[in-house]
Amino acid sequence: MIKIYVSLLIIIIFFSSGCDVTDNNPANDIKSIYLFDAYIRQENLSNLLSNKLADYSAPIKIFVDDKEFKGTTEAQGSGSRYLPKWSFEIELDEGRIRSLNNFNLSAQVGDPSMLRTTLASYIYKEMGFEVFDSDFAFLKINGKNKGLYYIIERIEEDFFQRRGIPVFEVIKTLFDAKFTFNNGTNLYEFFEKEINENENLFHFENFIYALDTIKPENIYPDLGKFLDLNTYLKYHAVSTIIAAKDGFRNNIIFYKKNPESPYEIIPWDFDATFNPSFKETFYGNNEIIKKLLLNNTCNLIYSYYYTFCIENIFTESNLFPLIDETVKKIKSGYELDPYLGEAGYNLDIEADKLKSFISERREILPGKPPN
Amino acid sequence: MKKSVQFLLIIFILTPVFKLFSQVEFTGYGSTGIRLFERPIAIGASQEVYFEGKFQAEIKVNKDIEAQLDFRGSSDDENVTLREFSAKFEYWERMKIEVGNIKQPFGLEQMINNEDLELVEESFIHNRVSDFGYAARSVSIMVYSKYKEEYKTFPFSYYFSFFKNNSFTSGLYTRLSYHQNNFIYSLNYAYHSIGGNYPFKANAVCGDITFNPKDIRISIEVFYVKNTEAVLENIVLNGDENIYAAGAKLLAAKIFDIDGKFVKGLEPVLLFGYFVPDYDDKDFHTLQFVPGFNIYFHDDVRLRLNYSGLMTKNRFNTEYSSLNSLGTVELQVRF
Repeated sequence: MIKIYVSLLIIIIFFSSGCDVTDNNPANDIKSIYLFDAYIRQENLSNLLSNKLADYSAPIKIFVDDKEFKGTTEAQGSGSRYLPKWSFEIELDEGRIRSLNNFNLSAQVGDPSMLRTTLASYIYKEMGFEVFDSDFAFLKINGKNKGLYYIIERIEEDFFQRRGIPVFEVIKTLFDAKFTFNNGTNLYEFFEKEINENENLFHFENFIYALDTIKPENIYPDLGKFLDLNTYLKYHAVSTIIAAKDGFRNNIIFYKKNPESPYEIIPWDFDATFNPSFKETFYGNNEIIKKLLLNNTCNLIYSYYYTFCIENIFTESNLFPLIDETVKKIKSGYELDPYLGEAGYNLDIEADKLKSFISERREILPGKPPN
Repeated sequence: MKKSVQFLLIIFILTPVFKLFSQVEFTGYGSTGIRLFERPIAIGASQEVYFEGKFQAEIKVNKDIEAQLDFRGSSDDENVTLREFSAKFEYWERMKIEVGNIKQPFGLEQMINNEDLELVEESFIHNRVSDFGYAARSVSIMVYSKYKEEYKTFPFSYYFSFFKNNSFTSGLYTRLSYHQNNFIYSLNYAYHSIGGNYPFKANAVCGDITFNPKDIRISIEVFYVKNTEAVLENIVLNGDENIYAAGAKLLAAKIFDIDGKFVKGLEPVLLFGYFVPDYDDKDFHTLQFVPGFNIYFHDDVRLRLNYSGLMTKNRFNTEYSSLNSLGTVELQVRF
């Protein structure tokens, strides 16, 4: 019996060894963006797939440019968790990819063009904001193509350290936030402290209380102690121009450099920018802008940033070459994405739609907002 | 804290807790070995040494209630995790109830503890079915009865499990086995209701026949399951939801007693598998051949030699590729 078995074994190994070990998956030839060849052990992958809502952390190995990185991954994001293509957070044990050791692989579920984050990042940066680093990666897990993702830097301690910015507190705006105590708002439902250790929103509560109570004529001297008004007005003007649908009640990150300094703004999560369903032309709606625009100085500053952005930054001559360059860069990854190119989306068509939107939006935006 | 210390710490903390109960039994295994990969050098060395372990505490709370904690650690993961907690209520001899994060009863390999499988790695078909969400662990309520020799008048095992996971999926599993002499005939059905923004329903069936006298196991198993992975890729643009994967595998193993000074038994194992991810497109498929050899130094101490040969044709590799084939040599100690 054992002799028969050994003979069988030799025959099987003989036939198997004649096979080609190469993998002709065209994703392996992607050079214009990062290729993340990731491996998750079978049981861990099964647990990860069963825990999209539960922040289950699975060990992961990622091969990038012949280098091996070990770390953990978990499901990330809010809306994307409900969709077939979802986002991941990656935390590396050692080493950095693109200078980052903790980043998101964002599926950009609101953006079938995968271009909006590049454009919005460019515009916010040109307007003087600190913006998360981003780049593109094509993700494979256990040899299977998972698609094109943005590598997105997370707004954590490392973000501030890398930029030499002191940070005392970071508050993230959650979904459909209310910037008022009126109607019994519980701020803890809408805001989450990311930095520092304790979870209390004491300083933020003081800001919201001031926003509710300060008289319009005292906004500049008094509310300015709580919020960097120039920065906020600039943020709101830019977000309005680029039709950042989620930029007024969702994706604002407030940070304080020290306990006494006012809150400044870091824009976040851009897949809902350049959004055709956003019809406002003057300002996106929230309680902060409504209050600020009651003050003449604020009105003038808002108007300045609004006009400056339309005339100098949000222009076809700035944005179209960026679109063309990015299309070229991501095309091969886009076409192999099971949920984009392979699902029937066409990057050239999506890019054209985006260009048309920009041109049309420029036409409907007034040169300056009415007082 | 250094991750390798966690395991010892968990045991240290839990041991006095376990002593509060009338009876605690520890089971598990430790193993170490080397894996020899067939893969491009760009995705890692062709050889990797590894070690892993399982530590399971079975706590007898009283004559009718048992609880189980299952910890796993491996050099690949560099951490220890709680893989399972479950509680068993055994008020009735032929209807037990188990609640917890338990293996779903779908397919033969799910019914056997990992450390008791003849091969080091689970079969390719099992892994793919697991990718689709069927052969997985979930928080469940399971009603079951495992056949025992004394149940001659009722030669059945049955399992009904209702589960819900944290990815918008809930559903049920049923497994029925008929025991006749050394043969076991089993049928499995799984139903998944998958939620989220693109909800759909998934059905899966499998069946197996096992010939299992002492020291021999020959089993043949077939699967026909909705390929949830492909459906999720298709569903985005209202594509086809009816994509079914299918597969079959044959496993044969026999232990030969050898009353040597060191070697007590030899167990040759063979597995043949065929898997097609889309039943309507059989050109793309994977064949698996696994010859294995277990050398027993004791019933619970064995050296395992496996070669898991995979030959895959897919839309990128129209000729067979042996990518991801794997040779393994492993020493395993069960306790």
